[in-house]
This record gives sequence, C-alpha cells and structure tokens, in this order.
Amino acid sequence: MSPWLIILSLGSAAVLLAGALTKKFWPAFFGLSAVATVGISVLAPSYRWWLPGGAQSPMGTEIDDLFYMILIITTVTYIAVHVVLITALIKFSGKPGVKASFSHGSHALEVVWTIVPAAILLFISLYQIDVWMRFRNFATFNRHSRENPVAEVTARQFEWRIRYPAPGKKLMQKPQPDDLYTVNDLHVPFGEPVVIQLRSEDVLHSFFLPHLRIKQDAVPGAIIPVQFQANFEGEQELVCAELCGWGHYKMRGQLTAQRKSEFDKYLRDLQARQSDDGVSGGRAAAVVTQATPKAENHP
Amino acid sequence: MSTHAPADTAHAHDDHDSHGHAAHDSHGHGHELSFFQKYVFSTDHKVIGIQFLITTLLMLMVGGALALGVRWQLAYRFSTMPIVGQLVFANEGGQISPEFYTMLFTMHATVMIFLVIIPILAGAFGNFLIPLMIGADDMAFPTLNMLSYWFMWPAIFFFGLSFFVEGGASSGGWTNYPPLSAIRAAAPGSQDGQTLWLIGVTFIGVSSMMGSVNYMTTIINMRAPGMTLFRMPMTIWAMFITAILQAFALPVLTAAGFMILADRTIGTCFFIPGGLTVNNTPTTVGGGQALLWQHLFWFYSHPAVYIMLLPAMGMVSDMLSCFSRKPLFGYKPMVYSIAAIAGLGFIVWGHHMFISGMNPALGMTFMISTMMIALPSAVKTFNWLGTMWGGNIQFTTPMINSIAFVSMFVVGGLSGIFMAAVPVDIYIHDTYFIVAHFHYVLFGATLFGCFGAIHYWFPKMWGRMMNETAGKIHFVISFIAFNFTFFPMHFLGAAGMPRRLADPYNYPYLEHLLPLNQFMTWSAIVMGFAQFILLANFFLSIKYGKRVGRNPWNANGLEWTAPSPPGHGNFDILPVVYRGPYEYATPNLDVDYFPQTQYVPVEQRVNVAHGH
Amino acid sequence: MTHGHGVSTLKMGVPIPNAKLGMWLFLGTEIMFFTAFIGTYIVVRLGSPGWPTDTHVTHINILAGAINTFVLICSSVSVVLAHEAVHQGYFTKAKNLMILTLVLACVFLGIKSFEYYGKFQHDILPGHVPESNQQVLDKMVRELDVATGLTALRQRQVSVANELAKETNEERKPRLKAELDVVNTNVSGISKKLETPEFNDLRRKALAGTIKLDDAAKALEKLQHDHPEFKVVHEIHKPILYGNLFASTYFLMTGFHALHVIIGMGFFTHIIMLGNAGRLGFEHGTLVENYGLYWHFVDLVWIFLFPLIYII
Ligand code: HEA
Ligand code: HEA
Ligand code: CUA
Ligand SMILES: [Cu+2]
Repeated sequence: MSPWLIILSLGSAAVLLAGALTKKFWPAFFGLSAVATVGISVLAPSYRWWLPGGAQSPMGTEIDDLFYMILIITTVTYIAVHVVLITALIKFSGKPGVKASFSHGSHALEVVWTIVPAAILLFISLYQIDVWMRFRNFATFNRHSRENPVAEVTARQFEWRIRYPAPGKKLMQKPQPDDLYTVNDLHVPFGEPVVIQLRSEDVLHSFFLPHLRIKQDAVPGAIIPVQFQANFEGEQELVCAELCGWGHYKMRGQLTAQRKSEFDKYLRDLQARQSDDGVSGGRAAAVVTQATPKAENHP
Repeated sequence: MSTHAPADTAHAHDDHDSHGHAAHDSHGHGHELSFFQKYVFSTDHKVIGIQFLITTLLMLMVGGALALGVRWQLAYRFSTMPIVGQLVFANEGGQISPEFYTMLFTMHATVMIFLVIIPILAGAFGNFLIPLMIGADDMAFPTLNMLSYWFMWPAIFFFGLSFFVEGGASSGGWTNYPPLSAIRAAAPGSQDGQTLWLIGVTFIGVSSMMGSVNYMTTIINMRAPGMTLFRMPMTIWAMFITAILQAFALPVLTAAGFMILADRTIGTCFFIPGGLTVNNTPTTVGGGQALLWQHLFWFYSHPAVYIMLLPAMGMVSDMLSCFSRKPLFGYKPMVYSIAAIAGLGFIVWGHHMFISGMNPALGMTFMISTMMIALPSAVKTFNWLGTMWGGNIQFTTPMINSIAFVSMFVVGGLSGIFMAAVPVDIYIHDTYFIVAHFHYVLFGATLFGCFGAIHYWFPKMWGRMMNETAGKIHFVISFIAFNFTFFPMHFLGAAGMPRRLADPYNYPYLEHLLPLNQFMTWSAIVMGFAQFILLANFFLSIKYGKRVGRNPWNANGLEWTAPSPPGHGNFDILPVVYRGPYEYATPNLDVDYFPQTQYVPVEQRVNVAHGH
Repeated sequence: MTHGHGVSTLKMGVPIPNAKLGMWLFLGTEIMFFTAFIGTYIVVRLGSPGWPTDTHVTHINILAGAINTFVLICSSVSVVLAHEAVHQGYFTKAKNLMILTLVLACVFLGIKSFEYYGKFQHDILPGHVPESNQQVLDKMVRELDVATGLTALRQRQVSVANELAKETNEERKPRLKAELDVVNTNVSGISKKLETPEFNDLRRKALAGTIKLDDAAKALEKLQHDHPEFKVVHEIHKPILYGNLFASTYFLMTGFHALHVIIGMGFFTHIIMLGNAGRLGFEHGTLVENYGLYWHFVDLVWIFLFPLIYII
C-alpha cells in the first residue's frame, strides 16, 4: 500500500463519519465517490495504469491528443454534473415539514442545456474527421508507400503470416515464387509511412499495434491496406484484438522497426535463408534462386 | 367479472360501476382457479411480472457466477477456482481452459443480456406496472402474455444444455461474429453449442416479440379515462417506446439468426466468404459477406442497448420525482428525449464497426449520429438534476439507487463519447475501455435502477415493505464494490488490454496489470456476495416485511390507488385520471402529493395549482 | 368514489379493437423480418461482382412466378369477400369463399413446389453449385464415388480404424482387424462392375483437371448409358458464379414466404371448421378480418419478392 492510498482511505472514512454525524451521510457518500473517481484517475498514470507510454507513430500522437481533448471535456462535464448533484443533495436533503418548490421545468434552461452540449458534441465530431480519413481513406495515403506495400499480412488461427516481395520487387496480389515468408515477425523500415495489405485466411482477426495506436480488423474475403509509421527503432507488440477462437489470447506477433538499410539487409538474409537447400550453403543458393526461382521452397 | 373480461373492455367497466365491489372480492368470480392456473400458467399480468422478476433474479446469479469465472481466470490464470469452479465446471477440474474461458464470457453476456436485463425491465416491471399505471385491469392479450413468459424457458434450457454438448457452449462472444460462429470447425464452441445458442436466442426473440406487441396494444388502447398520452408516467412512456424499438429491431436479429442457422446447417453462404480454409477443412465455396452479420446484428443490438436502458430511465424518473417530493422537471422534454434516443438509436449501429473495415465515409456519418444521441441523454441527465434541485429529498433505498443510476450513467455515457470518436476508437476498440463503458451503463445505471425499482414497487407486489436497513447495506456494498470492479477497467483499456483474452499477461506490456486485476476480482466477489443480501431481503420480506397500506410512499401514480397487492382485475373501481403523475408539492394542499385520481370540485379549483 | 364528471367512462385509445390493433402491430414486426431478408438480398447481390440472371442457368420460371402472383391476388380478393360475407351474415357463403381461398393457397404452393422440384433436379441448391470448372469436375467425381459405393466404404474404413485405435480390450481387437481387412479389400476391389477403364480414366482426368467440361459431359453420358447405376450423378453444367449465394437467398426468401402461406392456410382451415360446425357467427368478424389482414401481408411480400427474384 502506498502512502497515498492510506491517506485516501483515512480521508474517506473521516468524510463519511462527518456526514453521518451531520445527518448528511448520503451527500457525503456520493460526494466521496465522485472525488475518489477523479482522484484515482489522477493517480493512475503513476501506477502505469495508463496509455502504454507515448504513442510511437505520428498518427498515434494525434490520436492521443484527441483522447486527451475528450478526456478534458468529459472530466469537466463529469465534475460539473457532480457538483450540481452533490450540492442538490446537500442543500435539499429532506427536512420534516418543508415542502419542495413547485416547478415543472424551465423552457430557457432546456434550450440552454440542449444547445451547449450539441455544440460541444458537434465540435468533437467535426474535429475528429480529418484524422479518421487519413487513417482509413486509401486515397489520402502517402503515394509512394501506397504503391509499394512492404508486406502482406495474413491472419489465421492463430498466427500472423507475413509475405514480403523479394528485394527490389513489388508486392503482387498473387503470391510470387520468389516471395519471402515469415510468421509472427513483421519488419518494417522506421521513420517513413509504410503500408501493409491485411487479409485473413479463416475468421475475423484484428491487427493491433498498441504502442502505435493502430488497429484494423482483418476480414476474410477482403484485402485492407493499413498505413502506419513507426517512430522508433526496435521491437513492439503485435496483438490480435478480435476474438478468433480459443487461441485468440496467444495470437501474438512482433513488429520490428529498423533502419531502411538494415531492413533491406533483413530481407536479403531472409531470402538467403529461405532458398538455402541445406547442402550448397546459403550464399550459393541465394544466387541460384535469383536466377531460377524454385517454387517448392516456399511454404 | 372484470377478470374474464373479453377484449372489449368497455363492458367490464360498466360492471365495475354497477357493483363497485372491494378489491379482494374480485377474486371470487364464477369458478375457482386451480393452483396451476393461479401461479404457474397464470394469465394475470401481476403474477407473470413476478414470475419474470424471480426468474431474472435467479438468472442474475447464474450470469454472475459465470462472470466470477471470468474474473477468476483474469486474476489467477489457469488455476483451480474455489467453490464455483467445482459447482459450475467440475468437468474442467475447476480449472478454466482457454476454450472454456471463451464460453464463459459468451454465456455470461448472453445470460445477463437476454435472460436478466431485457426480461427484468420489459418482462418483470413492464408486466407488473403497465396495466396498474395506466388503469387497466390486465394486458390486452393475457394469454399471449403468459406465453411470452413460458417462451423464456426453452431458451434457458437450450443455453444450459449447450454446456453439455460436444465442444461445449457457444464461444463466439455474445456478438457471435461469423465466420467464427458460422463454420463448425472454427472453434470447439462453434459446433452444436452455437446452434443451441441461436435456437435459444430465437425463443427469446419470440418471447420479446409477443411481449412488445402486447404492451403497445395495451398502452395505446387500454388507458383509463382521463389518462391522456401526456399524463402517462415516464415509466409508461419508456415502456411504450421500448416496445416499439423492440418490435421493429428484433425481427432483424431473428432473421439474421435464421440465416446463420442456415449457413451452419443447410449449406447456405450468407456470411461465409468463398475460398477460406478454416482449421484445415476443405475450402469454402460461395461468396457471402462476413460484415453483413455485423450490420444486421448491430441494427438490432444497438437499439437493444437502449431497450436495456430506457425503462430504467423511466422508472428512475418516477422515483426521483417521488422522493424529491417535487414535480418532474421538464416532463415533455423528457418524453421527447426518450423518443429521440429511440429514433436515433436506429441509425447509429455502425459505431460498433468503426474498425471492421467498412466504408470510411460510413464511419464518419455514424460518428456524427452517435454524438447526437448523447444529446437527448444529456437533456435527461440535466432534467433529473433539475428534479432534485429545490426538492425535499428523502434518502430511501429506491432514492439512493436512483441517484446512483444518474451518477453511474454519466460515467458510462461519457466513456461512450471516447468510443464514438472514431480515431480514439481505433485505439480503444475491443479493449477493456469498452468493457468498462457497458458495465457502467448496464450494471451501474440499469441494474441499480432495477434495484431501486424492486424496493419501490415491492409493497405493491406483496403488501409489505422490504427492509430499509438491509436495502441500504446492500446498496453501499454493491455500489463500492461495483466501482472498484469496473472503474479500473478504464485504465486497463487505456493501457491497451484487449478484451476476450484468456491470458492477457501473455503480453509483456500487460504484465504489470495483474495485481490490479486481482483487486478487481476480489471486488467482484464481494459484489457477488452482496447480492445475497438483496435476495434474502426480497424473499424474507415477502413473509416478514412490515405490512403497509395502498400508498406507502405517498406517491401519485394510479398503481398506488389499487389495493396492495391488487386483486385480479387490479382496481376496486375504474380509476379516472385528472392530472399527470408528478404533482408533488402542489401549493394550497395540506399534503405534498396529489394523486392522479383525486377529484377537485370546480369551486375549489382556483386554489389549487394545476400541472399538466 | 363515483365518476362521470363529464369524463367519458370509455377507455382512452384508438377506435380499433385490441385484436386488430395487435394484428397491425404484429404485421409491422413482420415487415421488419422480411426487410432483413430483402435487405440482405440487395446487399449481397450489389456486393457481388456477378450474379446469375440467365433463367436457363438458374431454372427460374418467370411464367410460374407470374401465375403465382395472379393466384395470390385472387386469393386476397376472395378473403376480402369472405370477410364481407361474415359481416352481412352470409355464413355459408363466407365459408365457401374461405374454401376458395384455401384452394388458391394450395395452388400457389403447388406451383411453388413445381419450381422447387426443378431446382432440386438440377441441384441448384445452396452449397451444391460449382463456381469454377474444377469444382464442376470435383463434384462429378464425388458423385461418381458415391455411386460406386467408394465413399461409404472409405467412411467405414476410417471409422473402423478409429475404433481399432481406441479399443483397449485385447479380445475384441482381432474381430475389428478382420473387419478392417474386409473393408480394405473391398476398397481396393471396389465394384468391379462399375469401375471400368472409362470410369477410371474419367475420374483421374477430372481430378487432375485435364479434361474439358464438354468432354467430361460426353464421357459421363456414355458411362450413364452403359451403367444405369450412374444415373444418380447430376448432369454436368457450366460453373455458375455466385450460384450458391443466389440459391441461398432464393430459398430463404421464398421458403419463409411459403412458411407464412402454410400458416395462413391453417387460419383458413380454422374458419372453415367453424363454418362446418355451424358456429361461424358475427362475433368472428374481427377474427376473419385479422386473418385477412395477415393474408394481405403475405400477398404483399410476394409482390415484392416476385420482381426482385424473378425479373431483375
Ligand atoms: C445500456 C446500455 C448502453 C448505453 C445506454 C450506451 C450508450 C452509449 N454508447 Fe454504448 N455500448 C453498450 C451499451 C450501451 N451503450 C454495449 C453493451 C457495448 C459493447 C457491445 C460489445 O461490443 O460487446 C457498447 C459499445 C459502444 C460503442 C462501440 C465501441 C467499440 O466496440 O469500439 C460505442 C461507440 O461509439 C458506444 C457509444 C455509446 C454512446 C455515445 C452512448 C450514449 O448514449 C451515451 C450518452 C450519455 C452521456 C454522454 C452522459 C450524459 C450526458 C451529459 C452529462 C451531457 C454532456 C456531455 C457532453 C457534452 C460530452 N457504445
Ligand atoms: C447486464 C449485463 C451485465 C452484467 C450485470 C454484468 C456483470 C458482470 N460482469 Fe460482465 N459482460 C457483459 C454484461 C454484463 N456483465 C457483456 C455484454 C460482456 C461482453 C461479453 C463479450 O465479450 O462477448 C461482459 C463481459 C465481461 C467481462 C470481460 C470478459 C472479456 O472480455 O474477456 C468481464 C471481466 O471482468 C465481466 C465481468 C463482470 C462482473 C464481475 C460482473 C458482476 O457485476 C457480477 C456480479 C455477480 C452477481 C451479481 C451474482 C452473484 C452470485 C453469486 C456470488 C452466487 C454464485 C452462484 C452460484 C453458486 C450458482 N463481464
Ligand atoms: Cu486472431 Cu484473435
Ligand atoms: Cu451501440
């Protein structure tokens, strides 16, 4: 138990006691619950009960900003509503012999509290559209990355199959004999927008990069391009976020973002390893493969 | 005579007038009813309502036990669960396998939604309250009403049975997205368990269908003289609009259910795209669309979430006004906002599918319509505050539960705003943030509202009060434990913890959330045990509660003019309605309430202020 | 408390009997039910790059559909007349009109079954329609194997082998082994009579996909001529792109419509029985009207289905 929690619980007990003594137990109770709600939310990040670090992609940063904007608006709303509520509970808790005020409502108030939230809500939605369109509308993608997807990611129970085009080639819709394959291990060059083609072989899955705030369902029968940009060098989690069967929880992959040159080298190594027939040695085989692709080498 | 009144009710009331017999006499018509006719296959709306209530309370236990299974796994993964484990899934050795985990949350949600929340609102309170509050002697179609209760049992049976068939119960989540749920090989639970699930939901659908046609007819056509539309209590308005929602949204789910059933059994391919190889089975032929199910499902299930909320909103409005001893603030805006929520509810279903890969332009429109649906909710919230403001608040058990409703609904509603914003939803979709959101609205709002309503109308059901102290203890424990269980889910969601994960700690970035999850699990266990207080209070009070008269809360509604409990036929004499149900604190009256039936002679009227 | 201070003692509400109001509301829910099917049809049809529209391929019979439309409209008229007759007290006439309606409904179902029969005969059933050349050939091989008995034997083989693997009782094992041997020899020597060189040739080529559809059709025809046992194999037709989706929507929509027709027939039988028992009276006016309303709805659904499925 951290000292904070001890102080919090002692404080709560004191408030409730005071409430009970002054015959205001219920206002104290509900007031406390509201204060505790806000309080624990303030403390949460220090326990890492919060976003898993800052977003590591530009889109993710924008999403975080929108998240915080809504957080501020809703927190203000929450506090305002509860201040009014608790005040009402304190001020108007029942006294014998007192009659409530006789009022059926107020037209002016209704108008105000319809228009103000309407404006806020409309503002929120209009403010969000731009980011959404850049995330989902293919036409707004970076032209180069749109035309040169780095890989095709095919989800299946319960793994991610990744298909890269051979170095120097373009990714084709149909698998090519010289394509390169890995499982659960997606490499991309960092610092530039990349596009992957997302597909599913069996049921629904969802391609989720929590640290980049990217998520897209993989839908059988469809190919969905997903654009993201890794702003880090290293490894991050790739999570399946759509229930896909009993093994959903273990459908775990890895995203490795590396320098462009290292990425190219990674692909070349992959190519060498993949065409290694185990006899003639990787290097020789790589040369042979480039000349005459051998289809049977590919899973 | 009123008992066996034919559909033509005008006759029945003529009888009433001429005889004017006391309430309990109205039992003694013509022939005696057998025990079965009276308590089992009863066509009396009050008996059916109470049958629904007790059934749903028991189902709450079942759904809760399944939830505790879920929670146990999240705190102590793959370890033997004490007590409940042995009782409920002994064949697993009390241990939860990943397959079983998927079945647990699927059936938890299925039980909670289809067997608890919907039937407790519409079935229990709808049945019990509608005729009493509008001054009718029964529903328009009593036999249909009875059938609607008994159609729930096959569903309970099939859901229960599904745990024992090969492969186990349905495991596709309560949303059952195909192809997972359409292809038998896709998951163990996608075998016969899935078929049974679909059959069960169809039964529930038929049951709700019969209920809602009945409610609509009753409310439209059987109101007592003087009960104009705008004199109806909010509960009735909410029930009425809920019935409309139900009637026009549910058939779509039923139809979709038949389609997926056909996909599973006779080889159609509505939801199964061609060319899939699932679990090494032969490639599928055909060319259906996987997303089509999501559209059809949410076309029902989004309105359904309001079906799971509006009646509670109505009942809470009644309780808040009664215990603030003050007229409801903004009656008409309240009615219009219920209608607006219902109307908009039909055009926002796509907000569950932002990330599904549907057309991005649709995402945008659905975002705007979803934001707009928060508006009537805001109007309602502010009107509740306005009702309490200036009141003379009495902190009875129904009242504190209603206050909790308002407070929790605001939390749940505000988290809805995060998800309604599409870019933010990209990140929080399918994380525990969503789980937090809907438990706040479903449990925090609706279920607390129901707890309040149970305490409030209990005296009308049995002529006795529930124990107030026990009610308050139940409330305090439930409220605290509820918040301890579900508020941290917002943090889990923000930390990126996906839902429906049998073992989240498989991912290193979630490992540090284990202690928090253990805390939540223990809170959930406490909350579960707190429900025994409610049950004990409920059942013991039937026998031992303090006896009360017709109107223990000094409320205005018609139901309080009937005897407690009302006899067959409800009212001693046909009530006549002179005003709306919220005329509390009327100036120039000795008391602070003014029943809807109270007649004021013309010469006195000038002195008494009139409401609607 | 007495009342009557100028307030009507009648209930509030609309001047329609509860039963009729309830029926209208119920039909509202039914509209949504069929809307879901029709919506699905429109979505999958517009969402598919192709759709079989050639009536020779789909075995859709526009004429039969048109006749059926006419039959249903007539039945709607007769049910209205029946209601009118009850209203005026001509109960025998009402009963006879109900019988006419019932007969028309039977005619409708008869024509419908004739259409269904055509589809069954050509195997235009959901999940049965090949959508590529190879699927056509695979399907033929599958059916040939069923005809020779190979499929059944293979299944037996697998199940006996499984049983053997699971069997722990040593005493029972020899019997199972013997059975497996028999099955194995049967599989290898499968029905010498049917499995001729032509058969094997066709089967091999079809599996490899090295035979043209026309040639396969000819070979199959010859095979069927020589061995009538192979008549159970469906004739070869060209692959039908999106044929399965077509069959799915067709059967689901017309099937649920037919189900509604059958329920309607139950209603009419009820009235006819009342009439036969001499109990049909004025008090059944609302009932007959409700049955009629329902029937109009069934009619209306068909009027939507007919152009959607048959014509467009
Ligand atoms: C009773 C049930 C109920 C209710 C009432 C609601 C109400 C709302 N819901 Fe919720 N929802 C569910 C039950 C419910 N929901 C369930 C069960 C799911 C998950 C299903 C699943 O996937 O399993 C879900 C999921 C869900 C999603 C999908 C998330 C995802 O899967 O990614 C979204 C997205 O938009 C959403 C939004 C909303 C909104 C905007 C409201 C609004 O109606 C809320 C409006 C209320 C308020 C906003 C608070 C009061 C207002 C004020 C105090 C005024 C001022 C406010 C502002 C100015 C901001 N809900
Ligand atoms: C009205 C609806 C409702 C209600 C009341 C609840 C109540 C609870 N739910 Fe809910 N839940 C849903 C609807 C609901 N839930 C839905 C729709 C989902 C989504 C499922 C999906 O993803 O498809 C979900 C999913 C869900 C999850 C997420 C699972 C996952 O994604 O992996 C979790 C996890 O903690 C959870 C926990 C709980 C808990 C602890 C309670 C507690 O409130 C329960 C408290 C317990 C009781 C009230 C009963 C107490 C009884 C006993 C203690 C007696 C024991 C009984 C016997 C011995 C027979 N629920
Ligand atoms: Cu793949 Cu979940
Ligand atoms: Cu929704």
